Amino acid sequence: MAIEIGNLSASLCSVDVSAVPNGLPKFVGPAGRQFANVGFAAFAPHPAPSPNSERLSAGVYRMHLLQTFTFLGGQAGALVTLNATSSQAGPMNLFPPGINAIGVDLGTGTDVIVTVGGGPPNGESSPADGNFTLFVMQYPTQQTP
Amino acid sequence: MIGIVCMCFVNPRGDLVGSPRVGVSKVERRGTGGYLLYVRPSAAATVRISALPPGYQARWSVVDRGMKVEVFDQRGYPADHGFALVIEALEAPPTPRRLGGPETHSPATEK
Repeated sequence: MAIEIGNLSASLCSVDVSAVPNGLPKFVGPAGRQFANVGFAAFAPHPAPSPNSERLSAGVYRMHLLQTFTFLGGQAGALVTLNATSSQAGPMNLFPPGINAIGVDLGTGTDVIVTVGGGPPNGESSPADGNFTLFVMQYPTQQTP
Repeated sequence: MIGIVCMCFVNPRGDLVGSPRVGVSKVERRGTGGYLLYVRPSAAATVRISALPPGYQARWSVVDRGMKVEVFDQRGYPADHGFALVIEALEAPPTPRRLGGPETHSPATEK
């Protein structure tokens, strides 16, 4: 069963961090095609101006939304998943690394702060770089009962 | 080895928002464009302030209870605006020791 939702605003991206720390993260899709970005600003080196996205430190990313979302009061939400290879996914079944995304408003549009945790597979508890997919939704307001 | 001493996100009202929050417990407003953060960077630390609009500038200084960040707009006037703060510092690498090797002695403690 599926529910059709009208007036749902969404932004979606998939980020590859294989070039960091010397290079920048990049948006990447299947088979290396760099199309997997709808609604997020391009990456710039840290410290980056507000219209860009940036890697703040290992495993911590500020993803700038081109369209302003209203996260207050649960009107918008962010979902993030870790993109693991098959060999990485094995040990993660037992100890999945923490990963979360939180929307913030720093005064110029809105950003999503993504934190990729280390976790037991690589012996770290602090954030560590990892590829991820981020999906942000602005929920529609229901007009009729 | 670089370590993160402090990382936080401050909105224009002077609230700590989002995550992660490392090394800072409190933020207070200090007039237009001024924010007092309860963290004291060491002299060797690297302070990076980002997420400001193009043309905006941020200055920081150590004050009695922590660190004051002042935000200025394109014309140089104080302006309320949120920012991301990252303070990094060099961490001393652990003393190299070989497993099963002799303990390192300090001349000051030897008799």
